[in-house]
Amino acid sequence: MDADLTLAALTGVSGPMAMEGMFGGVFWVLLGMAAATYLTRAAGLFLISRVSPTPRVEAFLRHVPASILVAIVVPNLVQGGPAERAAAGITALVAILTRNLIAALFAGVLAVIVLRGVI
Amino acid sequence: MSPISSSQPITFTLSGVRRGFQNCLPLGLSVFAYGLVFGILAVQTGMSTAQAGAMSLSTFAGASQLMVLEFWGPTLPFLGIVLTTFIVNLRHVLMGAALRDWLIALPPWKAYGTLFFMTDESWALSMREMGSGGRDAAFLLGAGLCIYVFWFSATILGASSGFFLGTAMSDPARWGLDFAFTAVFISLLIFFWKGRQDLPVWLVAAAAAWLGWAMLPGKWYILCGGLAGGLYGAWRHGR
Repeated sequence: MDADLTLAALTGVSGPMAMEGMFGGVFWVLLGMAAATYLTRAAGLFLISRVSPTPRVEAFLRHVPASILVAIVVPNLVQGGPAERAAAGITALVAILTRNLIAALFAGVLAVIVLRGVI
Repeated sequence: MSPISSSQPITFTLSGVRRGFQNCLPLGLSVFAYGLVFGILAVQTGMSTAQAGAMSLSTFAGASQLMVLEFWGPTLPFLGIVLTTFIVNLRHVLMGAALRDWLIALPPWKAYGTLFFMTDESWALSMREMGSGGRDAAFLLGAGLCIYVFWFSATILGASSGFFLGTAMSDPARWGLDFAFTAVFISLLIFFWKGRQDLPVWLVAAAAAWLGWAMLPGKWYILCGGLAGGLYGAWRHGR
C-alpha cells in the first residue's frame, strides 16, 4: 500500500509516535470502517425516500433483488466442481418441489457432503 | 419488488422480531462457522480478540472484514481500508432501496436503526417475507439480530480459542457449510421466479456477474450483476 495512504501520513504522526499511537490508529480505522459500512446500509432508503421513482426506476428496482441473488450464486457455481453443481441442481429441485427454504438448505448441504465423497 | 397488494398498514412488533430471528437461525449457524474463521484469521494477522470483536460489532459485514485483514499490520492504511470497506459494501445501497415498501412506512429512527443490522442473509429472507405479503418490518430487524449474535460470538470464540479449535474449524468445507450459503441463495432465487419473462434479466445478471467475478477483485461482481439485471429490466420496460 502506498505510504501516502497510511494513517501516519494522514495524521502527520510518524516513527515511534505512530507505534505508540497504535491503539488510536486501530480505533480510527474501526470507526472509519463502521461509518463507511453504515453509509452503504442507510443510503438506499435515504435516496429512495427523497426521489420519487419514475416507472423506469420502479422497473429497475423490481429487477435488482433477483439479479443480486443471481450474481451471488453464479461465481459459486463457476468455481465449484461437479459435486457443487449437482448439489445446486438438487437444492433447486427440492426448493421447487417443497417451496421450503430449510428443506432445500438441508438437502443441498447433505448432497454436497455425499457427492464430494463420491465424485 | 411486488407492489403492496394488501391495504393493511406496515407494523413493527416484537413478534415480528422473534419471527425474523427464528427464520434466520439456520443461516445463523453457517454464519457462525464463518465468524470462527474470521476470528482465527484476525488474531493471526495481529489483531487482539477485543479489536476483532469490536470490528464485528461495529462494522458487521463479513466479506469486507475478511478482506480488510489483507491490509492489517503494524501500520494501518486508513484510506485503503475504509475505501475497500465502502466499495465491498456498496451492494447494500441497492438492497436498502429494495426494502422501500417496508422501511418508508416506519419512523426514521426505526428504519435507520434496523438498517444497521441488514446483511445479505437477513435482506434475502426479508425480501421473501415482503414478497409473500408480510407486513411486519421488524422481521428484518429480527433476522439481522440473529446474524449479529452469531457473527459476534463466533468472532470472539474464534479469536480467543483458535488453539483448541485448531484447523478443523478453519475448514467449513468439511461439513459442507461452505455450500450452505449457495444453497440458501439458490432456494431464494427459485422463490423469486415470477415467470418466463424473468429469464432474459437473469441471464444478463449472470453474464455481468461472471464477467465481474473474472475481471474484478473482491465482491464487485455482486454489484455488477445487480446493476446489469436492473438496468436491463428498466431498459426493456421503456420499449
